[in-house]
Amino acid sequence: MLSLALRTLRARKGGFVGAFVALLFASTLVTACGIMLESGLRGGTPTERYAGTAVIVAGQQSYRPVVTRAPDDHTPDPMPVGLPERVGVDAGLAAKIRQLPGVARTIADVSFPATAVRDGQPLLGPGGTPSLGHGWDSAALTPFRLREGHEPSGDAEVVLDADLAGRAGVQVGGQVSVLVGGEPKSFQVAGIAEPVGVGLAKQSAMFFTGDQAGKLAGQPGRAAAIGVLAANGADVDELRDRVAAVVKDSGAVALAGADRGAAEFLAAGEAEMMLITLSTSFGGIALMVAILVVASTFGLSIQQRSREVALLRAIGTTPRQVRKMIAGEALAIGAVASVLGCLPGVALAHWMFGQFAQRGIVPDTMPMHVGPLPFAAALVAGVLTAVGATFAAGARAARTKPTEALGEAALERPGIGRGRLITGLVFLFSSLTMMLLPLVIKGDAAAAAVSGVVVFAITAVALLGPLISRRAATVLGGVIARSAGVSGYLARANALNNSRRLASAITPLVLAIGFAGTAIFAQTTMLAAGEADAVAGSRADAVLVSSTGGLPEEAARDAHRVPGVAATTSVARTKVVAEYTMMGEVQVRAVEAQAVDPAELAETVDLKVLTGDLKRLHGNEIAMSDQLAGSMGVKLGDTVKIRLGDGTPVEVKAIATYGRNLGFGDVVMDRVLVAGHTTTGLATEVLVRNAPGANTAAGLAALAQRYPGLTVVDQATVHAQHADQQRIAVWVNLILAGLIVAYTGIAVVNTLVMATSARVREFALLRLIGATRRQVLRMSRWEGLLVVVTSVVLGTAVAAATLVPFSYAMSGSPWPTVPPATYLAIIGFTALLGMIGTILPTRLALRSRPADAIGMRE
Amino acid sequence: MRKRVVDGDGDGGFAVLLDRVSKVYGKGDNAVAALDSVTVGFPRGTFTAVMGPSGSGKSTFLHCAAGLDQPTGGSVRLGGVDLSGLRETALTELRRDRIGFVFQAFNLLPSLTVAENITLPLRLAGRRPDRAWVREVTDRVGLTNRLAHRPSELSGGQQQRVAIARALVTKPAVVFGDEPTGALDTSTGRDVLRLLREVVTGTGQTVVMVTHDPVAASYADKVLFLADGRVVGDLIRPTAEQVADRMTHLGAWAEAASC
Repeated sequence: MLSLALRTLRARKGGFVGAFVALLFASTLVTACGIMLESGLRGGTPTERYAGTAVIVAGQQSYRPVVTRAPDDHTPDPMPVGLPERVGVDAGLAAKIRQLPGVARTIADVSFPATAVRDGQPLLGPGGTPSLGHGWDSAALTPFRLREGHEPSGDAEVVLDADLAGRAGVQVGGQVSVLVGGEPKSFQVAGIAEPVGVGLAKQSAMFFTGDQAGKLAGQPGRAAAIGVLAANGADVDELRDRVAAVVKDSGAVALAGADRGAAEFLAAGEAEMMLITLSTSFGGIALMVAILVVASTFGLSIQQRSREVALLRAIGTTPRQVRKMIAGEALAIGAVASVLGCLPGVALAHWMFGQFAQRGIVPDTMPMHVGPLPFAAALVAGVLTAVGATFAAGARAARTKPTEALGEAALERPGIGRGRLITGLVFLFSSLTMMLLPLVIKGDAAAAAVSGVVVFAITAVALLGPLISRRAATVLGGVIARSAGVSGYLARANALNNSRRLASAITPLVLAIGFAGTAIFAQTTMLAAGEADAVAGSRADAVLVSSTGGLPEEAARDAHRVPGVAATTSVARTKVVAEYTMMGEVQVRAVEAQAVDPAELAETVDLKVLTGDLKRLHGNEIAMSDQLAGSMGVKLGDTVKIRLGDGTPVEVKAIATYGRNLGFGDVVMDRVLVAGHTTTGLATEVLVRNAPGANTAAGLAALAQRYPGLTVVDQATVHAQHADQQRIAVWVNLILAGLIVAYTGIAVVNTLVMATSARVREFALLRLIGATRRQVLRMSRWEGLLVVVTSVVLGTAVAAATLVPFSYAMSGSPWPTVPPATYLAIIGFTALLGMIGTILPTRLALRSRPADAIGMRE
Repeated sequence: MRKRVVDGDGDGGFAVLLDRVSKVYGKGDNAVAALDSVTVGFPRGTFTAVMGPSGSGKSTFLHCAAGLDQPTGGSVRLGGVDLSGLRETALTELRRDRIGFVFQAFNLLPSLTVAENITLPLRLAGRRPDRAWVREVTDRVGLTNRLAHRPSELSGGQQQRVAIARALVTKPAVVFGDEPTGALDTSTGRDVLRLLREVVTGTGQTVVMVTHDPVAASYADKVLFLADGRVVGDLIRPTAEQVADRMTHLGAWAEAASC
């Protein structure tokens, strides 16, 4: 049957172009996502300061819950969540690792913000990157070589990297002011060192004595990482495995080669995690769209060949063979399209990587891996998608009765099969049920559940399409037929009797509007709600921020002493990991959190407390957003286990719930709770509330003298900076939406071109019995309009079905934020696609002379 | 704007008049004359069959006579209107008003009911169907009780009857048939031919039919024989045997000529 399938393909190229292009595009997307996924998994941001090590031992920068399952339960485990704060390792491990064969030396590395100050201005690393302090032992990790002077020998001595020393304008023996722990201290420059064989592009480095560095880092017994230097001739991979075996029990990981960069640059790890999440969701959606589109185009091409299939049946082809033939066609198309889609996939990956780097989503030094795996994945996914998507079409074709070959007029069978109807109704019912979830559960969990509505609703539309389009043809067709003369009359008759053809055009258009609308407007809704929260919840008149990694607690106290200041609150933005069970599945989420000085919190922030009292916020008594509390099933006074930003589990008690989570995160806690569990140990910002009528601008600005790098900004600026990160998310979703719309655009045009070009004879007949070219064109324009209007209505309904409950879950208001221009752009573009896809092929079909066209076989 | 030059009797009672019509495909040495200076007239109220071996120019003849194709030489006058020089839209409108078509297959729009198919040409022309006339036409073809059916629910013969009714509904100057019985079995084909015959005799309709079936041709008043793009003879009130006999000779002649 495969050879027959191949011959059919060759003879009927036109009918398969739609499925082919859809699969090609799917393969391109899957390849691109695969490359991003592989790059994310492999990571490999090149290390700088650990360049001289063979193996780096670091804390596991992600958390994955341990799920015990029955042996026959194959539900995938939850994805690990990245930890935002440095996890670190037990410094004592260094001695144990030292005992291993092949190890020459181990160094426990500490790392903390340490910024030199010149003329009151902080000197950051190259391009605004951080400047970090370490113990002198760490110099061997790179290695650094002393160019001048000697290693630091007392608490007041420091060695600077050559670049930093140059910018600071200091010489060996001179004094340099260094900002550590937020306060400037004076050190003597003992020496100037330069890295050997590697450049410092993403940091500046300074070295203190081991004792001093330990004190400044403030986490006794902990190290950022342990560097392992190999003895001569030791095999790095073997060494890593031996080290890994030793450190496994302490939860640390051993990294070698390209993996070491992730231990040095936490942001790189985050970027990798982000790439993994992004590429899996992009790829998943691409495949889902591909299945729907291919199923729809294949369905159409089979329907157009129903007489041919009937003929095959009439001359003795069994239903099984028909099914095999269709599967064979799908296999061939899937394989060829997947292979051809790989190359543009590489180009797309390059482009997306470039865009991500440009927007700071991934570091621009992050390498892109192009291995064979994504291609293999694209091929397998493409073939499976094609064969899977044609399953229904094949089954329908196999049911063709041989007698249908003898029928003269190819009028489609009305209605849809019972199985399809039931499945469609199940999907419809499921999406309706999911829509109501936010009434029962709250917060992100509800929002996440609601985002499934769009997928279910679109699948329902795809399955029930012929019924829906028939209904639409009845309603709209009536209007068109009444108002548009004979062209409208014909358009209505065609639409009523070709609901399947109509549905195959409507489905991808609904898909485009539904998906794009949901992806974009979910973000704008979030953004607007966050902004509203932040504005409504802020009572601060000024905010202190710093360019040097953060502000010490003293800065808040000093600010309080400025005349006219009524209240100050230090805020450290971090994340905590919440783990809970929802619908039988373990959910792990890293949620935004603020660690604050609770004393005057009520003066500077209005969290919109719903239950409990913020005044009791102290120690391990925390406040939670009602959304998070709802998701976790936590009631006031409950004790729950959460994990801090570095993965440390803590028992906390919920003493209040509040409503403004979009502006202030899901957890507000005492800063004491996170002491020693954040990378910098500093506050991100200090909120300042003035006494009524007081002007504190000059007084606060003067604080910059004492805290180099400190600036005074207003709440709007802080929020704008914060929102910038969310705008990146908006942008990512715009790309996603753009890809989907482009994808469905191709599908729509293909479907319509196929559907219309199959009507050459119909148009010819119309013209022979007296229809003018213009009448035929007008008829197809009315048909196109019917398709477009139906799609816009359905697509908007699908998007609204997702967005309204989503908005309700996120902000309590059922009205999503929908910028009219964006909405009009989405529906305008899809409408344009629909119209072009109808009118253009009609024009082409009208080119041939009707007398010739009517003679043509179907 | 519409060109409507009606000079009623100028064509001397002919519904269609072809005057030295030639149709040449290709250029220079590759030129092939599908029609070679054909002059023929079809009087009103007559039933004419056009026959000829494959490649004799039957189809080209029909296309030129019906205004579907422009001849490269000569002129075609239809109901007193000269077709040469008419543009596509004007030609379409003329066809809509003056010509009915019946084809071998795919004659009806599957989305429309029988009644809708029949009245479609009127609607396309923006005319209100004259109920009495539509009823008369459907009565004549014997489909009055099938008006709400769709083409797919009818037999081949019934579909062809619908096509004939549609061809008649505009009261055209001439009905052209292109192998109208080609896809039908013998007895159904006879019914359709009898219907055409009756339309000519009963209402004075002019019918021109291209066919290769001598039995079909025997229903006509006159058979015109084409070979190599020329009219090579005719038969008045022919019998099927006469036609078959002539065709056999024509076939032999055509084969000899092509050697």
